[in-house]
Amino acid sequence: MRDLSTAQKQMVEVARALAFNAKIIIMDEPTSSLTETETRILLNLIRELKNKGVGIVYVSHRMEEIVEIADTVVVLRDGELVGVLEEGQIERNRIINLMVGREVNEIFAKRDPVAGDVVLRVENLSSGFVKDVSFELRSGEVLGFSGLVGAGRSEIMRALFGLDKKDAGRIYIDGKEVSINSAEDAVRHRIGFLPEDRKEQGLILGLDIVKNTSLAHLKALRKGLFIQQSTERSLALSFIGSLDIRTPSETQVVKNLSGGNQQKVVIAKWMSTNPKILILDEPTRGIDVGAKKEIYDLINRLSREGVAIILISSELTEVIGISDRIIVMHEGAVKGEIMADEATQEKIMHMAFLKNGRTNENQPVRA
Amino acid sequence: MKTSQFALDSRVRKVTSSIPFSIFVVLVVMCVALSIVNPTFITVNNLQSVTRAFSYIAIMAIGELLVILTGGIDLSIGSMVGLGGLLSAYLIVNAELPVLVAVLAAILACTAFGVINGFLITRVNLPPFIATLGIMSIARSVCYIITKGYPILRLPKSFLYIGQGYVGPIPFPVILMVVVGVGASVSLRKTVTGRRIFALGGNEEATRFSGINTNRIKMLVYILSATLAGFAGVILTSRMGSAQSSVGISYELDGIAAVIIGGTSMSGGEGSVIGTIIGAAIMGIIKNALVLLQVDPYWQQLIIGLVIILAVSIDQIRKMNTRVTLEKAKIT
Repeated sequence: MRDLSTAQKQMVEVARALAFNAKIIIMDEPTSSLTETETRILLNLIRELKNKGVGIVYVSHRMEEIVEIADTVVVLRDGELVGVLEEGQIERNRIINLMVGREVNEIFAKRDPVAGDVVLRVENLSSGFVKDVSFELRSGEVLGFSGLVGAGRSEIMRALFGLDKKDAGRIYIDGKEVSINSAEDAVRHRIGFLPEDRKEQGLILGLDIVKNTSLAHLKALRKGLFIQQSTERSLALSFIGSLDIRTPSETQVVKNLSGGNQQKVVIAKWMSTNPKILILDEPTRGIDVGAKKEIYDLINRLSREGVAIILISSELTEVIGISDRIIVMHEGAVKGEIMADEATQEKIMHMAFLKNGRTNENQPVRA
Repeated sequence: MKTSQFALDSRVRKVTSSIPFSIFVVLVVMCVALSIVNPTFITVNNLQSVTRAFSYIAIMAIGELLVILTGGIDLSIGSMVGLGGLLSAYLIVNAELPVLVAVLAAILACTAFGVINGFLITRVNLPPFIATLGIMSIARSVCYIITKGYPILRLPKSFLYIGQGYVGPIPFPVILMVVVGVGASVSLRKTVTGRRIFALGGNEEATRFSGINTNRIKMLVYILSATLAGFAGVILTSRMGSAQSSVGISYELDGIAAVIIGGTSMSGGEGSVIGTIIGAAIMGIIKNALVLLQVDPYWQQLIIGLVIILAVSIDQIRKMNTRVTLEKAKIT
C-alpha cells in the first residue's frame, strides 16, 4: 500500500467502499493532494458511480470542482447550515455569497493606520506546497492573511519563523537580509509567533503562568548563573494585570485557565520579549466573545506602540475588522492584496477563488 | 496579614502534597519500622553501608532523571557504569596512568558515548529507546573487549578511597551524591537550561515554538546521563576493589526504578532530584532490610517490583483525585 501514490490510495479507498456495496460514499477533500490529471480521473469515477446509483457526499473547498460535479450544494458556515442550492442554481457567486454572511459588527475598534517604515520584507518564499510568496510589512501595521483553512498561511509563517525548511526565498528585516534557520534565530530578530494551536504549540500546559510567560525570555531574566525569580514573577504579575488574565494566582497551572486566558498567557510570553514583529495565527479561535474583544483591543494597542503585526484568521469579519491591509491566499499562493477599507467579504472570496488571475467564472473545464 | 497567612498556608500545603514529600514519609516509616524490628538497622555501621550502597545508584539515577524529564529514556547507563569503572581500572593498572587522569579519561569516554546517543536521537532521529539500547550493547561489548573477561585487581589505595573512604563518619560516596544532587537540583530549578529541560518534557513543540533549540537540550541530557553513570561506575568499582566487565548489568533498571519511585512522570516535564534520591534510598533500604530480616535474596526483585507498581499506582490514583477536585472546583 505504502508504495502507491496518493491518488492510487484514494482509488483503493473508493474500491473498498464499492466492495462493501456502499450506497453512499463520503469524500472529504478527496482532491486536496491530487494533481490535475488525477483529479480528472476521480471526477470521472464519481460520474460513473453516480450513474450506478451511488450517492456521494463531496466535501471540498475547490469551487470549480463543486460547480462541475455537484447536483446539490450544501453550504455550512461556523457549524451552521446557511443554504442549499439545487441544480440550476449552482454558481460560484451564489456559493460565495452564502459562505460570507455575517456583517461586520462593532466590536472592532476604529483603526487609524500608523504604518511606519518597512520592517519585514519577504521575497519569493517557498516552503512545501507554498510557492513564491512575497510581501512587505511596516511597523505599526496590521497585515491580515485571509484564505480558507489549508491555503498555506500558517506554512509561510512557520517557514518565516524558522520552524520549517525554506526551499527558496529571502527575508529582510529593517532592510538587511537575515537568515532565519531556527525559531531561535527568529526570536533573536525579535519576531514573536502565537501559533494556531495554543494547547499543542503555544503553551506548556503543565507549567504555571509565571514559567510560561518567561519561556521565550529566560536568558534576559538571568543574572549570573540563575534566573532572577523575583523579576520573573513580577513580569508575570504585570501581564496578569495589564492583560487582565483572570486567575487565582500567578502560580496557577495554565491547564486550568479558560481558553481566552490561556491565549493571553501566550500573548504575554511574546510581549515580554518586546517583539518588533508579531505573528498571530488564529488568535481568537475557540475563545468567547468577551475575550475576543480584549484581544482585538490588544492588537490595536500593540500596533500603536509600533509593533508590526501579521494576523492570520479564517474569520473574514475579523480580518477586515482589524487589518490595515489584507493578503488573500489560496492553495499555497498569494491571490491578491487589498486595503482593508476597500475590502468586503465578497471581494476577498472572489479573489481567493480567482483562477490564475482570470475573473471569468464560467471558464470551460479542462478535459 | 490574612493574605500572608494564606500564602504560607498554601505553601505548606504545596510542600506536603508534593510527591517527594509523600515518598519521604514512606522512607521515614520504613526506617522507623525497620529500627523497631531489628535495631541493627540504626547502628552507625549499618547506616554507613546502606547509604554508601545507594549513593552511586542515586548519582546514576540523577542522570537518568534528566533524560526522563525531557520525555526520553537512557538504557545505556548500566553499560556506562561498567565502562567508567572498568576503563579507569584498566588505565590505572595496565596503562599506569595517574589515578586522577585515568578516572577523568574513563568518565570522558562515557561522555563520548553520551554524545553518540544524543547524535543518534537528535540528528538521525532514532527513538531514544532504540539508540540507547544499541549503545548499551556496544559499550558492554567494549568492556569485554578491554578485559577479555578477566577481572582487574590490585587497584591503588588512592583509587579505593573514592568508594571506600570517609569524611568524618560519612562515607565519601555519600558526600559525592550530595554534591551532585545539590548541583543538579539547583540547576534544574534555577538555571535557564534547567527550566528548558522541564519545558521540553512538558511540551516539545511549544518549547520549539518559543525559540528554544530543543536538540541542544536533548544532546545535553544524554551527555550528562552518560557522564554521571560513568562517574557512578568509578565509585562502584572503587568500592568493590576490583573491576569486572559484567559490572553494572541491568543497573539501568535500578536507575529508572529510582526515578519512577521518586515520583517522576515517564512522559516528562515533572519530577525532582530529591524524589530520585529518596527513590534510590528506598530501594537501598529494602535490599538492606531483606538482609537484616534474613529473607531469601531471591525475593529481592519481587519486593522491588511491587514497590515500583505501588508507588506509581498511588501517584495515578492521586492524580485522578486531583482531577476530580479540579473539575468540581470549576463547576462551583
